[in-house]
Amino acid sequence: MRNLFAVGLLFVGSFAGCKKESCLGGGANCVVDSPCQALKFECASDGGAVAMEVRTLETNDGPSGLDALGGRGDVLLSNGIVRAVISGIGHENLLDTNGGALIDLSAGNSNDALNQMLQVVGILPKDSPNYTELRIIDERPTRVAVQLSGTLYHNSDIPIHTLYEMRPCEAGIRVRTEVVNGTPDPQLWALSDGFYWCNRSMLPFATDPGGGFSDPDIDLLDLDSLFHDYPLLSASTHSEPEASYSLVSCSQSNLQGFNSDCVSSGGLPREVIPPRDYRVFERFLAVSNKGDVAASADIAYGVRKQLYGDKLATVTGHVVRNRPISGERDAAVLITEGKLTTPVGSRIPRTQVVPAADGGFSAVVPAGRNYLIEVDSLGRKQIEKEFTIAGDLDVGDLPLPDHGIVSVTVSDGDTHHRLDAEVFVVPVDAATTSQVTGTLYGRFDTCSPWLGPPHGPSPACNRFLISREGDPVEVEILPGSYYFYAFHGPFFSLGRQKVDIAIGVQTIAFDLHALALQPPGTLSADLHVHGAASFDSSIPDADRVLSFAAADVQIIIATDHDNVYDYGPTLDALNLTDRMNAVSGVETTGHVPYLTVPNNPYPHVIGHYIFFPLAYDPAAPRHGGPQDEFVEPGELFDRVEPLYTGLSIIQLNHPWAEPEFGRDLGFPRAIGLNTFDDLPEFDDGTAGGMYIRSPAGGHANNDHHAQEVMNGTINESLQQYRAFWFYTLNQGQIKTGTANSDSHGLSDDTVGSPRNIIYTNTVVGPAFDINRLNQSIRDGTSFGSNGPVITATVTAGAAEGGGNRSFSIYPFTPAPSAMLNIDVSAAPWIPVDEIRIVVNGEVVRTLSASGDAISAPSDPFGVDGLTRYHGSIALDDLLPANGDAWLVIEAGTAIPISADLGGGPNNEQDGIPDTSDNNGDGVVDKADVKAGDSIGPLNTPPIPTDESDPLFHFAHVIPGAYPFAFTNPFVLDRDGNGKFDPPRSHK
Amino acid sequence: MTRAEATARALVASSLLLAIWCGTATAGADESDDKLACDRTRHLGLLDGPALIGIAEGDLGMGHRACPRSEVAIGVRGGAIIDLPAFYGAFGITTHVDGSFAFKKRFEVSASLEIVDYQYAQNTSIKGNSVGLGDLSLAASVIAYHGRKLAITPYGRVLFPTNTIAANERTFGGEVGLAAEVRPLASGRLAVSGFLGGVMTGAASAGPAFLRGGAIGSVGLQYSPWIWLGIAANLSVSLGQRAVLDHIAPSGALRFRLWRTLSLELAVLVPVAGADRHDLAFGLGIHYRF
Repeated sequence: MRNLFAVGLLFVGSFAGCKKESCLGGGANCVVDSPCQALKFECASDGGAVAMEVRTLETNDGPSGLDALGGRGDVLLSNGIVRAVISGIGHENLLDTNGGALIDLSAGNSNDALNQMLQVVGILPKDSPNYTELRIIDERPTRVAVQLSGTLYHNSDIPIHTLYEMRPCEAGIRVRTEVVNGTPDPQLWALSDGFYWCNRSMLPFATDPGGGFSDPDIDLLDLDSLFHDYPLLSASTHSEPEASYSLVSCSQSNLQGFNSDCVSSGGLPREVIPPRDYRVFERFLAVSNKGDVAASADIAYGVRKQLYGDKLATVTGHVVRNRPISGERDAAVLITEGKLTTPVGSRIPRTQVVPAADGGFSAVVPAGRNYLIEVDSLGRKQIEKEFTIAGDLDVGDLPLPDHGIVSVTVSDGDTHHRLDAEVFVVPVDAATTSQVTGTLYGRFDTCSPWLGPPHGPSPACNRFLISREGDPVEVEILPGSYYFYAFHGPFFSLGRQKVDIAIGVQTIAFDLHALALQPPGTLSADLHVHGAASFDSSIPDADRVLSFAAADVQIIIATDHDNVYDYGPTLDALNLTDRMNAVSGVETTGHVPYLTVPNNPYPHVIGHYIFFPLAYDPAAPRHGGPQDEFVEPGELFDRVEPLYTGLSIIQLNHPWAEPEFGRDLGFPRAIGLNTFDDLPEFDDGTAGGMYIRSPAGGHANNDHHAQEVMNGTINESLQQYRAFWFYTLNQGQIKTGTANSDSHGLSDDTVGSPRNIIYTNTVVGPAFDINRLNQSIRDGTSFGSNGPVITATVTAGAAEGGGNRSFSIYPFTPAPSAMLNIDVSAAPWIPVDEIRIVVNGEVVRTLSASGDAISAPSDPFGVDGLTRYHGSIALDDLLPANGDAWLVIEAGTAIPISADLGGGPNNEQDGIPDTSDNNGDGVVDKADVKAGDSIGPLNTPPIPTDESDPLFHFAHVIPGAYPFAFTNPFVLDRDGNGKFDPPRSHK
Repeated sequence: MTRAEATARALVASSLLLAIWCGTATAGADESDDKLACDRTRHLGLLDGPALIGIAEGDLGMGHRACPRSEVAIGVRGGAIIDLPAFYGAFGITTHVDGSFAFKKRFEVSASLEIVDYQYAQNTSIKGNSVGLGDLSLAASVIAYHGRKLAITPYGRVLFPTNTIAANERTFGGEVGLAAEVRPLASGRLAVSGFLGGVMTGAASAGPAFLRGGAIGSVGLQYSPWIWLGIAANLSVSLGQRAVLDHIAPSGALRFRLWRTLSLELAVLVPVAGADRHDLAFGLGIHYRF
């Protein structure tokens, strides 16, 4: 026994005697080892250390760019070449809930395009760090660094330390992360950097077989199969200002991770980590201010040469074109390892480079291999040649085919002043379509013709913006036969010209005419618009604001994700302040699933809400927006309350949208609300109870003022939002219905389609009063539309003062023989063949072109025939025999048939339509459901290809939509008891 | 003191009391038989003592038998963690060879080596596995008291850092304890066994040692109706290693004598309370006694 005891003591002594490295052993004053110590960069003769800095930001003097987030309390690191911002402790940014993420990284001071890079060991919140300590390390001129220490979320037994370090003369940032499994259980970790791109932004580029830009969408339930090894993980912008990033591991030869256009990861392999074991990940993130992969990958390949002895070669060449190359849309060179006979899935994309204006290009690739050099122009592969690259190689001239140029102006045909407008280009025939359809390396949308990256500046996809100022816009386009549509919103005539494009310059001029459609005393407003300040948008501010003017929208609410923004300076710069107002707001966007909901094992987020007006504080985290994670809607409403600068609006967005990337977009769907059940009076533990409860004793979760009935130009979810709105109206939850574009750029949704037409006592321009507008929104004195205009009144009873009352959320008692008076009008290019009257959620009367004298103009490009219907209907013919009721009027074309096939608990029906007639057999049944799914999809009709179809023109300027307008409700207190007694259940 | 702590303490105390009571209460039941406790076996080839099952590193925490024996064994031990709310699961299985040698009827030395250690873990939809050499332990025991019906045996075990699955640390450990065996019947049909001990593990690493120590205890009963079958049931308690209450866990074993002194044991342990409640352990071993 004595011997045993001695052996035990020896072992215990050996634990204490082990040398503790870096911060692996903990300790209050530990310093993480410098990353990538084998890596050396040569400095120029000036030493390069003069401009190094590390400091806590007091203002917004960090780098600017498409995705700049840094603000007060964040930490700036700079070596004079690269500037980075690390989120301060306690700051919430997107997926980073407590600081420590790399949120800005720019070569120079104005080229940040990084949403964020954060450390993860898995995909759940518990797999990300909760840093609680930040230390600035100022060892100039040798290095500057920021050290973060904490633990993984919800697990104090797993310490994590990360060091971000910059050294002189390096075009990038060094990072080292240490994580120790202090739990008694084995863990499964993939210690990595997670990059959050999320659509319409940077495209990641992975150097693995079949990779490059072509990586699959994420399926969170099948993530394991998406893991690959790659020597580099890069990303570059497809907008302005430009940026490029490349991640290379210093810990082992390859990164392992998954890659998608929403989230990518690169790090150590997935490994079982026994108790007490640890992992250290060191890497270098190269950065450049040029928007191609090669700009940063050249640096990263150089790192690999130093660390792993890679043999490299520089490929040069010259792309020949009939106009100077102005960017990626004109020419881009992809260099892929493989031969023409190599299957595409086995080829290894190595880099991509955009030639200079004169066509010259240069890029670094691994030497001693066979390569395919591909040149893309205007979204199409134009050249593909095979080379063996043993060492540095000049591939010579690569000539591109010639193309045409159109020069376009749009004017007001009555005043002859030039207009801001949007021009849509549509191939006339199948032959042209097949020759001009393109993509950005197979990613994002397919466009015909492809004029530019869909989510970048104009031209984007098949459209471009026209400014009323400056020179006519010139756009390069492949030869073919096209329709050019000139669009200036739904209250102007539509212009169209057929043009055969040949080599050379052709000029097109449009005259559009203002149509007397927008009712007097109204303002048009889009209450949900995104720009570059959102993580999932990359449209430059100037084009964003010009698109507002092109769509003739008067009020724009800037509602960027988790980020307050102000378009005021851009409005000033474009001389638009007399015809447009922009209001700062935010769309809170749940990123971190935490919410436990009834009958569902998975954690949720609360979806998206819009709040305005808010103060734009460029120096504050999120530019003044609230922290929105880990709270229910009601508590979030409480939290935003002090941030308003005027009368507030809270809007529930896209209440029934499908989750994206495992994140819920709408609260009602997130909690699994069953619209066959009445809302309870108190929180009874059901989803309905959750919907109405006050989580922190203040606001209730359903205390929003408005709900989107129309969201997005595409109408695919309209029926779901409409059904949910009708449900809440039936429950007596009278919320203003709104119609917003949710536009993130030029090609996803068209700003102002749809929009709200708000009867209000304020005016656009310098005298605009947001308080008055918001009071009108709260009052519900508005209708939503993507074209048709509805005016409607009901005769009020004597006790109400008589007269005709328009729609609003306030109940009133109609006159005994009240009439419903309806006028519907629309621009000639907008078909209207149906007017529906909805009472208590049911369509009780449909007025049609055949039986009810709804007229149709003869010339869709003319200015006549605006009024489509004018008439009155006795209210008693529409309402039930007794009881209070609400009434909504809709106008447009027929709503496509759909059905509720499930979607509720145990996939029972939930009262919300989910499936359309996808096989076109006239009925909606299981045969319409996508293979492998239990319900859906809910599609909109395809864009017509037959020009005789009345929707042909509408569908080409408002793609994915069908004409639809709806009023807010008439709330009818028929029994005159001074309140609205809702019909409740519609089982 | 929490309710769980109180329960655990009560269980440990009652285990000891039960062992002592069994030893004294049955003292006069079989006066004609003067065989010592460890000689009262149902059959030399039928396993006895606590179920060979645990959820710590190697064979730590499994306690020890009070009666020494010489045998060689080969088997597999496995464990699983299924934590659905955390979307986490892990599974491990090891193939081990064991040997023990008893001498002078009082002493025993033993060794256990996990020759193949396979670990699988899943974090949501991300998966991984590792294979390597597992843990090696050496143990020794000596009977301190040997009566006709009761044997009390101190034991000690040392875990050596042979596991190769961990890339950056080497785990050491040790266990000391007191095992007791009560065999009231000369036929050996019934045996009450138990142990009480302490376990400590830690790592030699550039990171923290993460020393974890705690108390373990188990009490159980084996009924052997035939010379080829023993049915064992135990209740184990572990305190202080990962939480105040690591687990309260019933375990069971079916023991078969296959041929002469060749026997087989199937064992399972299921924590029902404590921090280990998401865990499960099982074992299968073939033993040859000589």
